[in-house]
Amino acid sequence: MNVQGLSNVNLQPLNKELNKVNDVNNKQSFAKVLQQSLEHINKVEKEADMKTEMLAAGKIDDLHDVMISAQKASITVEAATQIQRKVLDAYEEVSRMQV
Amino acid sequence: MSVFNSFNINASALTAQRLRMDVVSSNIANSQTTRAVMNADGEFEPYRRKMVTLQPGSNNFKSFLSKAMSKSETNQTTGVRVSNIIDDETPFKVEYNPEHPDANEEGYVELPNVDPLKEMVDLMSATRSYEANVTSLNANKGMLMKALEIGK
Repeated sequence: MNVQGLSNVNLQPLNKELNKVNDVNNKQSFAKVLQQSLEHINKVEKEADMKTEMLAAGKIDDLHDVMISAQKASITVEAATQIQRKVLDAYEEVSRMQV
Repeated sequence: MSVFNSFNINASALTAQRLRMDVVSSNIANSQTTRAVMNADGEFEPYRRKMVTLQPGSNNFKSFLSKAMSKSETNQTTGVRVSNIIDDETPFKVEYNPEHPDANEEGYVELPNVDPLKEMVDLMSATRSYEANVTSLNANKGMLMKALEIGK
């Protein structure tokens, strides 16, 4: 039986796709997006903390503003943890993949 | 427009209803005040009942700018804000009480045009509106939390 080498396989399209992926990575890397969203969460949390402090110091008139800020912070954090969970799930799924 | 837009709308309504509450409290507190302002003749006038008028929060510079830039179709929902607090121009109550320091020559005293019944109705209306907005806010929060449960 005559086994032939895979000499005439064209890798050009695959390389092109790979380059495209690299381009996307350079433009907006995952780490960057993650950092941006973490900064946003931090901002919302800080705002809620500040409002709570101001309420304790008697510098705020609207109690509902404080409560709403706290709720906004809690929802933002919840959304972030959900996304983190999903990312970890995806990573685990990939790591379990048979090669 | 973020996911928290509805929160901000409800927050504006809560603030407006709190102001209505403050005005009602002021009316009730001053229901016997005979020396609120001094008129042009140098005589004291009783307190006039105050009323709150509300308007949509869209009447501001930002919304006019976005309208001019024809982005208004995307965001038609706005909050509420208090446009002003106006005086009730109904006549004062007149009571015969010659011993009162502010009685006139005939012995009549002018008292504020505050009707406790009206104030109680306003008070209940403000409280119920506040509660309705809190309920709406909680419903919105519930929706967001449910959305976060997608795919759990």
